[in-house]
Amino acid sequence: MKKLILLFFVLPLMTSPLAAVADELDTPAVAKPGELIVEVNGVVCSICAKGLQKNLAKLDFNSPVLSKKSGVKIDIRSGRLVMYRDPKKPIDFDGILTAVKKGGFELDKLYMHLTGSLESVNGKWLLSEKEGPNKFGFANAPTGLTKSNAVTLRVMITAKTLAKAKPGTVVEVEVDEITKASE
Amino acid sequence: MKRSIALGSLWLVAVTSVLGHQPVMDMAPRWAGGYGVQLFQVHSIADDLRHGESMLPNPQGLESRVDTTWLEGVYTFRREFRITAKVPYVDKSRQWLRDGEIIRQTGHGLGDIIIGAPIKKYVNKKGYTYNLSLTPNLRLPTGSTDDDWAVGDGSWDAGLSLSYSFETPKWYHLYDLYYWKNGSGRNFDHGDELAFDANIGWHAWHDGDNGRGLFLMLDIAARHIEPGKNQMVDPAGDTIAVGPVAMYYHEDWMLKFEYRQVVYDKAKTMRFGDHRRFAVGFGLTF
Repeated sequence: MKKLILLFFVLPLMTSPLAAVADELDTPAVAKPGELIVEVNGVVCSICAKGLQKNLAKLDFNSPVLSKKSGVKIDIRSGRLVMYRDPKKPIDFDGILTAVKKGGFELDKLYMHLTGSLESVNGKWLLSEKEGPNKFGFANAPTGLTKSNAVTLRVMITAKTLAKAKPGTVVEVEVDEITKASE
Repeated sequence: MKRSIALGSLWLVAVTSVLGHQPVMDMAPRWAGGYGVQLFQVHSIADDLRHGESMLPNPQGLESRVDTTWLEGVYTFRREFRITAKVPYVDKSRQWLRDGEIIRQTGHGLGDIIIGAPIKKYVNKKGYTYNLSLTPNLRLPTGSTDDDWAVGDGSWDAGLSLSYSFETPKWYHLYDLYYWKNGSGRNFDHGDELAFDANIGWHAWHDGDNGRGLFLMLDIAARHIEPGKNQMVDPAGDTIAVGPVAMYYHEDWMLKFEYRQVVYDKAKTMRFGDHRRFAVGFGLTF
């Protein structure tokens, strides 16, 4: 019996260095036009994340016609799920948070590719998407660009930002890349 | 050697070997409202005799065989709490000595249903996830006690499991320590049991585009079984068994193959020893 108890404590210690070799690459995701990349902590196997995948696929703004099957693809090496959205529909950020939590995981970040025009309201910069109702706020003014410029952005939104966001308010994004869109 | 109504060692070994963990049932479904079913076929044979750590001569060629088919189900209320149920169908036979004569005993039918309620604490981080699990189990006396090698002993049994699993995209570990307190049976009793299971797995292949892949694992199972009462063949003693596990998954289903061989065996009284166990499972999650 003592041997069994000893084995229970010793074996995990002996083998944990193997388990610690995670192959996660800590580089920001690069979203393509139409993509919404959901980065989730703990997604390391696709069969474990099936429920999360189904939850995300049920969200109204998900556009399965743009991709095969559910419209949500899992990449276990990066812990990211890629979905395609219908830009004419509002993004349900609360729905994403709930889908991830009920799926058994924790949201880390979202990545998106946005195209729209800049606005300045009360000293804050906003991007209104070219199609649809979605608007996003910036922490810093984009240099070299002026109001009403058409721009393309790659942005990131953290889970903390979403948790703090009040319903009906513009979601603040962190801009990874901003370029003037060709007219 | 105690003699009485028959229920021998291999039944208990076969049953307890699947009481602890189910890798896919541990991994999935972890989502709220998720459920899964699994069919698990276990074939266990033994053809040598053991007392203490010694192998005994078996000139009569005594042999024991147990085939158990488990139907298993799981429902996840939320990731911290699940309910599991397992129903075995047992078909078994063995030869043993009584007063110098070889007797043949058989048993078949539905066995004891096991209900479990895993309570889990998950920690999810970038590139890995792990969880601690506490699982109370109850074994109901649903198995028949009528056959000469009875499928059930007619007792209510209670178990408690403490497990830890850790997973990255490449590695899977599961360690499970559990204890079964076996109640008094109708005509005989099983002894209490302390057990430890470990799965150390390598995620050898993953095809992300098609949601399929392969796990290869080393399975280690250690058992300490206390002496029971009035059993013709008492499984009491200490055993350690090891073997490979291969698990293929595709989208919502998985197929698993296991082989396990006893590598250490110390019997309290004379019983069958060198168990070899083959198992195949098919599971679905929704």
